[in-house]
Amino acid sequence: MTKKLLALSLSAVLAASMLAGCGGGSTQGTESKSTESGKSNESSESAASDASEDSGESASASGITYDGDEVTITYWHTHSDAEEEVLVDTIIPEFEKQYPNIHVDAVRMPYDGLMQQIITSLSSGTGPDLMRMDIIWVPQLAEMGALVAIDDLEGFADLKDDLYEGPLSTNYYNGKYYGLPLNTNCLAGVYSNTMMEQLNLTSLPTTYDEVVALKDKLGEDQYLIACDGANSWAMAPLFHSLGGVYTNEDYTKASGYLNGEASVKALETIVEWYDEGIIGPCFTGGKPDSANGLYDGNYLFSYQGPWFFSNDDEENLAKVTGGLLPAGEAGSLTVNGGEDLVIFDSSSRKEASWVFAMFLMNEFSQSAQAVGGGHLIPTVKSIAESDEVQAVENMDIYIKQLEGAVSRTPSPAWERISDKLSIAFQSAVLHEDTAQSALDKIAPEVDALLAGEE
Amino acid sequence: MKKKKLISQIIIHIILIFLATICLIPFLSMISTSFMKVKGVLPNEPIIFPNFPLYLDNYVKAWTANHFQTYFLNTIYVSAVGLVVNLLISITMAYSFSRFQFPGKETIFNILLLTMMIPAQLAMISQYTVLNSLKMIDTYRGIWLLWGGTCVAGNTFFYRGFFEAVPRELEESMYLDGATRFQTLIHCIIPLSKPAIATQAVFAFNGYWTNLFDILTFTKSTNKRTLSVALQLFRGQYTTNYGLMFAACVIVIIPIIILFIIFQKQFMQQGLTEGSVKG
Amino acid sequence: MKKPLSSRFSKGLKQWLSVLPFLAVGMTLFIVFVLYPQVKNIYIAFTNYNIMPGSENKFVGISNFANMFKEVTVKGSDANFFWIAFRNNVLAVLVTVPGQLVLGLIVAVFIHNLKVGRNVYKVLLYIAVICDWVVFCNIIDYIFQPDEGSLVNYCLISLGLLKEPVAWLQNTWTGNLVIWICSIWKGFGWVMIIYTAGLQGIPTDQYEAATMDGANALDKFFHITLPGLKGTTVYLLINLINGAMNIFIQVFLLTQGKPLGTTDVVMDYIYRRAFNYFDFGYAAACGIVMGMIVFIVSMCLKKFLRYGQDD
Repeated sequence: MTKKLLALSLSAVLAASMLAGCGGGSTQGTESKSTESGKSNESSESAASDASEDSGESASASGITYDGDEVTITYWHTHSDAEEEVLVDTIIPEFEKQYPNIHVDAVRMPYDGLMQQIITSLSSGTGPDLMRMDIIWVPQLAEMGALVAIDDLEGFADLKDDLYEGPLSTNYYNGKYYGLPLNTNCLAGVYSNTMMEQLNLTSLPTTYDEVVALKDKLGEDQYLIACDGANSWAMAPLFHSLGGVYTNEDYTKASGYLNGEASVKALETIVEWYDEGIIGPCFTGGKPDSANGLYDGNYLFSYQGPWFFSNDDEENLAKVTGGLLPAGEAGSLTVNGGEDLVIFDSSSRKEASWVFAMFLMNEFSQSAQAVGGGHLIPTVKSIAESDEVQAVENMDIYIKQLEGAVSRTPSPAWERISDKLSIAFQSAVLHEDTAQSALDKIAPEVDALLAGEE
Repeated sequence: MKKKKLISQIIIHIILIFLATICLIPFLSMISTSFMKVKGVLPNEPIIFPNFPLYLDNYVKAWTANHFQTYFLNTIYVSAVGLVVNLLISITMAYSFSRFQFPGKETIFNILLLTMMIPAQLAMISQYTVLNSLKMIDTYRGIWLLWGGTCVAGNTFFYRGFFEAVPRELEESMYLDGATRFQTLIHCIIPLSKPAIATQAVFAFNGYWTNLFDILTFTKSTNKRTLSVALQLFRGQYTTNYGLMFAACVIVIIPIIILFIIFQKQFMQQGLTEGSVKG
Repeated sequence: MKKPLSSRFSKGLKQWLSVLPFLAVGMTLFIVFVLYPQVKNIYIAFTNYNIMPGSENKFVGISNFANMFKEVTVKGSDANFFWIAFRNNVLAVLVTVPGQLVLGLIVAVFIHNLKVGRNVYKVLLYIAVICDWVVFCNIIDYIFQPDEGSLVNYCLISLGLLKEPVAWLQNTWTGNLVIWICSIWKGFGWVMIIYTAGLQGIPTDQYEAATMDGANALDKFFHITLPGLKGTTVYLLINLINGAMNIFIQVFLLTQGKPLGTTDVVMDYIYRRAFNYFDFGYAAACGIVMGMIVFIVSMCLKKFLRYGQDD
């Protein structure tokens, strides 16, 4: 019995994750369904053929040669079915063609409990060679000494200038870069067509004031805003747009910012909106959930990542429209998510791993993943702005929305900070505490965490 | 008198049927849902029976996705051998504690108990180090050894009670006939403890069948993975698609239920020590 | 009274040599895969542990243990969450252990007394036990959805016990209730099976003799069945208490401790300190304290009920 329970407990580890609520949202969400794969296939093939025409150019763009021994590198990732197809059927074959001495063993890992997998294998120095991981983990693992600093590696300096600043900064820890931003994302608006019609809206609302003004036109079981939870990920676009901040700009201090007047007012407004039924019940885990609420006309709009559009069938997607989020006092802000590519310090094949990492950053790979599979947003400016990528459905919206993307505090202690934020937000929303006192309580604790104290 | 007995039998049947129904309706609901196209929003009434004609697409999709078939065979292999290792080790261990006297016996037994009670969340890190130094990462051998080690405490505790309940008279007569310790274990203790062994064996096999975490941590190649990993890769992806998720769930648990039904007929109906002493 | 040391020693050695063939493999594997990690756990609990190989682990004394009490009365502090989680484990013991034990025993006695269909019921009631936890929790999650059409809400509303649907997993006490129901439902089948095996061990002639003496069914239950099951009961009790103190997967899958950590349990708490926060020392310390508490309770039970002692 006991052994069983222990074994089960451990297996549970993978079954669901606290992370899924905040950072994990992005990774899990990137999954897309196999029903879509027909379509994705086509587009990825077209991407492949387009890109392979100028593959000579892109290979020289990454510009790295490999003359070491024949090796096999292990690459851990959490791509969805459709993204994995692009990786395995398009990107890796092309890579192995260009670098016949490097073979890539791509292992897809379940997201839940992934950190435990990493930790366990790192403790014996037997981790994978490189890995695509959630952006929030990079500082934490860098602090631990598990990652290779890439500042001086071949080609990074040139590549760096062509990368978006936000995603790049997630790899920065203590004066060095420990990873490459592989793909980025953010939450943008998804609007319910049914609700738009019913509320007689001819264009998407551009400010929260406009949204709130629609309150009196709502019917029973109808709400305006579908936010997936009072946590540091899902609530961030709303909180930041209303003027709330987590820390100062250098990410060194929370007191006076997190519990400053603007942040408190933002949280108070959110609580008030939830009480008034402007924010719907999915905020605290109630039904309808945001996706179905949009389809059935219970919510006007919801915060969704780009994966939303590869996550459901066309019949449902026809009921919604993607668009920019409304602006609050601070503008139309959102939260930055995505994945970084890191090389583990324990790897004995760092050189080959770096070659592969740079290949994943080149135009061929970045466009293939953007056009096919899960429509991942490139982090390389010139590629993201190319006509081919911009033509992908909704891609332009996300790339535009990314301009207002706020990075989550890059800190090794982010997991703790995030939990503290979520607890403060929840106690305010559930009226266990006032917004002011909840934020006052955690601000000094976050200060200490930012300063690297327990 | 007979009539009274009959009535009490009927009452017991009614109570048990009632209880079994309550316990099984949710499972029925799961199976029915797996034959329907249910996504996200639940219908206004719970699904107990499926609509006809059955919607089979969920099963087709689940079976063809994520290497389900290879993982199926892997799962059978790794759990079957795991069970054999488990039985060999736990039975000999429990036999040692129930039939031998040696200094420090109770202390060791208490240490076994203590280790059962400390949450083992961090143990995996050390276990990994050990297997790594034995060069057994990414092998099933490593996993079987690990399972052999982790089953010791619970199973020794479990079997010891049952073994001690086996009357010693039988063994003593066997010793007089010149039997060794090993022979009495094989010919006396094990046959007489069959119900207990079968009970625990089903439980252990099931634990290995559904084990996700050890497999994921200690094997590295995708072709060594098992069904629970496949189910896990499903979960994140299809959470709101109840029909598809439950179809995968049903595929995972049906074999274990069938196995259980076969095995319980073999073992569970025999009395523990009935008649053995008298005879 | 004692024999000379040398003769005691040689006797002990002889005993060890005779038991060793049966004990060696199991003990070796146990030491390597269970005991060694546990001992290392103790070491980790006294350090500020860094997982990377070759890194220095600073000895921090008992500060990891002290942190379990730091600001314990302040709502929202780490220590406070630990004790909320601990409280939930204790409640789980108080609710699910008697629940499983009584339900399992009653069903076992019923089944034992059946003339036909014993195995049918055993199989039916055991399905929940052999069901994968992940699958089982998916089912629980499904039937406890907050919709009106979810199985539980629908049934309770139809029976007039509820007026409107309840969001079971979103509130503290309904959330805990679901976790308890989940544990009892998944666990009582196992108790039932162990008890039926135990019941078969009670010699039938005792019952025959009692019937001759004119005892009724209840008399027999209390004077023959219960005493005959004592060893089994202690075994179950220790296992169930241990199980309830180590509840994890239900919480992890169903509530994740929400709202505000009020449905959290210690195992989940430890897991997050270790693998989300990398605070291995503190996690190990919490695990040891928890393990000691459970062990002491179990030893008291074992002593008190005199289980596992040779006569």
